[in-house]
Amino acid sequence: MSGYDRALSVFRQHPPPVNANPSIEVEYALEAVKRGTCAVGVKGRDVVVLGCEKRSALKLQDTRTTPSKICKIDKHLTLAFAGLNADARVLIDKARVEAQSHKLTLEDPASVEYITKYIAGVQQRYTQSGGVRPFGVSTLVIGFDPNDKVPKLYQTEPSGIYSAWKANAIGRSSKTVRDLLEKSYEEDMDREASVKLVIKSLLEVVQTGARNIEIAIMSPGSELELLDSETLATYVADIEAEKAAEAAKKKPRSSDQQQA
Amino acid sequence: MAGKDCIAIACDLRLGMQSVGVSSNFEKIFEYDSVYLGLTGLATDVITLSEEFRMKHNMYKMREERRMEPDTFANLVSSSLYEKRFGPYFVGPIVAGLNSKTGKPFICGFDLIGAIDFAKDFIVAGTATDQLYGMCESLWEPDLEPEDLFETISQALLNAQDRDALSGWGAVVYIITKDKVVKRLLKTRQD
Amino acid sequence: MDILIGITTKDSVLIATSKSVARGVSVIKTNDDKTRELTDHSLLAFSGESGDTTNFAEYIQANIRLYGTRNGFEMSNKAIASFTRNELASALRSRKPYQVNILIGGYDVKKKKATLNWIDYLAANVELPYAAHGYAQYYVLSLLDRHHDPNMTQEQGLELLKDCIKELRLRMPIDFKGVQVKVVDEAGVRKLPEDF
Repeated sequence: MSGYDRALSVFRQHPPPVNANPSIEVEYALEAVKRGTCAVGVKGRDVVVLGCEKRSALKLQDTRTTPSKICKIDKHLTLAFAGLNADARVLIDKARVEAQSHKLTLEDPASVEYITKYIAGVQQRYTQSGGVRPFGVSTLVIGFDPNDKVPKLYQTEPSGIYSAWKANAIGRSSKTVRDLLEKSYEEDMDREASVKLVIKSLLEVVQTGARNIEIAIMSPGSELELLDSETLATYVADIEAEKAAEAAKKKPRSSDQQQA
Repeated sequence: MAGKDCIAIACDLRLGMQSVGVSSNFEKIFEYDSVYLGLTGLATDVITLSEEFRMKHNMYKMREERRMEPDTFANLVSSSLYEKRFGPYFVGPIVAGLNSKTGKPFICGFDLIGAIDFAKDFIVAGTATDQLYGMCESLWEPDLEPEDLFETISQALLNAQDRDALSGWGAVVYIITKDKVVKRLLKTRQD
Repeated sequence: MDILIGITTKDSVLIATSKSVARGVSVIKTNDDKTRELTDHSLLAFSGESGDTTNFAEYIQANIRLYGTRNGFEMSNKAIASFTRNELASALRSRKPYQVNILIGGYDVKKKKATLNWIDYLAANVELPYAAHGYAQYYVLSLLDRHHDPNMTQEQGLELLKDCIKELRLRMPIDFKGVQVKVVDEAGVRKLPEDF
C-alpha cells in the first residue's frame, strides 16, 4: 500500500475515505474527532454556554486532577474540544501563550475571532508541514471581545477551517445533537434557556446523565463559571420530567422519535 | 576555620549598596548536605551561584547515588567559576566541611575565577579581609575543640566587622562536628 | 529619579510610587502609574531606564498570568519574586541588560501574610519588612527604621507612609508630583484616593 503507515507521524486505522479534504492525513484527524466525546456550544442573548460529555472515571482514578475538556484560554476566552486529549493540550497551550503575547504586544486582550483564527492557523500549518501530523482535534471557542457584551461562538477543525455559529456540536454523534439544536434553537435566549438547551442536547448522546456532563457559562465581564453537580442534577431532572410529560402526551401514537 | 575533628564557618548578615544598608538578614552561608559554602560579593551573584550549586549538587547526588565530599564540591566551585573566566561572577567563595570517610576537616577559599586556596588553619573573604586576617592570625591555634573554635571564630568575626564600615548587622556561626551541626545567631551592634 | 516605597503591615502591603515622569529638564507626565498587577494579590512596582521598565514589567505580568491560566492556580509571591529575579539575572549578563529596580508586594490569602520583595537592577532579591528604591531611600529608610513595626495596622502603616512622603516633599531637590498609593491585602489590589 502507500508509504504512509511507515512514518511515526501518520494516523493509522480505517480505509482512507475520499472527499474534498486536502489529504488523507486530515481525514484521519477528522475521524479522531468523530471518535472523541461530544462538546456543545450555544449562544444566548448575553451568555454563551459550553457543554461537554465527560468520560466516566475509572474506579481508581483521581477525578480531582483528571484534566477537563473545557479549558480557560484567558479571563475572557474559553475553549472546549473533541478528539485527541493529548493533541488538544498542545493546541491549548499555544493558544494561551498567544493570548498573553497578544496582550503584551498590543496592550489589548485578544478578541474571540482572533484567537480562533490563531488556533485554526496552527491547525492548518500542521496539515502542510513536513514531519508532523494534523491535530486530531476540533474546538469550540467561546467568550466576549474586550469591552463588548456580544456573545461569540466559533468552531475550528483539523484542516484549519474556522466558522462562527449560533449553536453547534462537535465530536461523537455531533450530527444528532446538531439536528436537535436546529430544531430547538431560539434567538435571544436567556441564561436559563441557553443552559437548558445545552444540557438537553447533550442528554441525547450521554447515557448516564448528569454525572457525565460538564457545563461552563460565560457572561460579559465576568469569569468562567463551571456549573456544580447539584445544579446540574436539578436541570437534568427538570428536562427528564419534561420529556416524560411529553412522551405521555404522545403515548397514543407510536414513538416517531429515533435515537442514533 | 579548622579545629580538632571539627570546622566552623561564619558570616555577617548585612546586605548593602555602598553605604546604604538594605537588609539585616541576608545569610551568606549555604548548606549542601554536609558541605558548607560561604559566598560574599555581589548579592545577585551570591544568589545565582548558591542556586546553581544547589542544582549541580542535587544532580550529582542523583547521578552518583552518593553524597558529595567537601573536596569534590570545592573542585565543582572552581570549575564553575572558571567557566566564566572572561565574564566572571563577582564573588569570594569559601568551602568548609568534614570528609565523610576520613573525618578530616577541609577548608578552602577561591578568587572570583576559581583559583583554589587550600588552607589548614583558616580562610577569610569579603570586605573585612584585612581585619579578619589580623584577628584570625592572633586568635587561631591548632586543634581547637568545638566550643573553643566557636569562641575563636566568633571573636574574630565580631571584632573584624566592628572595624569595617561595610560589614556587620548581625552574624551567624556554624560549628560542624562529626555527628552534630550547631548554628548560632550572634547579636551584634546594629550600626 | 523615581520614588518607590513599600511597607508591610500586619495584614497588608502599601506601595507608593511617584507620579512624575521627567525627560531631561522637563516634566512630561504628572499622573504616571509605575505599577502592574501580576495576580489578584500581587503588585509589581518599577523604576529605572524608561522603556526597559514597562517592557520588563509587562513581560513578567504576561508570564505570571500565563502561569495562572496554564495551571489553574496562581504563583506564590515567593515564586513570583524568584521568577522575576531570574529573568533580571539572566538579562544582566546578556548583550542588553534591563535597568529596572523592582518592589513586589504580595498578600498570601491562605497564610494571611503580607510580603514585600526588594529587587534591584542587578537582580539581588531580598524579602524585607519595608523597602525603597532610588534617592528616596536615603530619606525614608531611617524614618522606617525608627517607626516601623511588623504588627502595625494598615491605618498606622498609611500614617507612617504619609510621614515618609512629608519628609520627601521637604528634602527631595525636585518635585516628584506626589505619589500614587496602592494597597495589597485580603481583598486584593486597590488604588487609594489622592489624599489617602
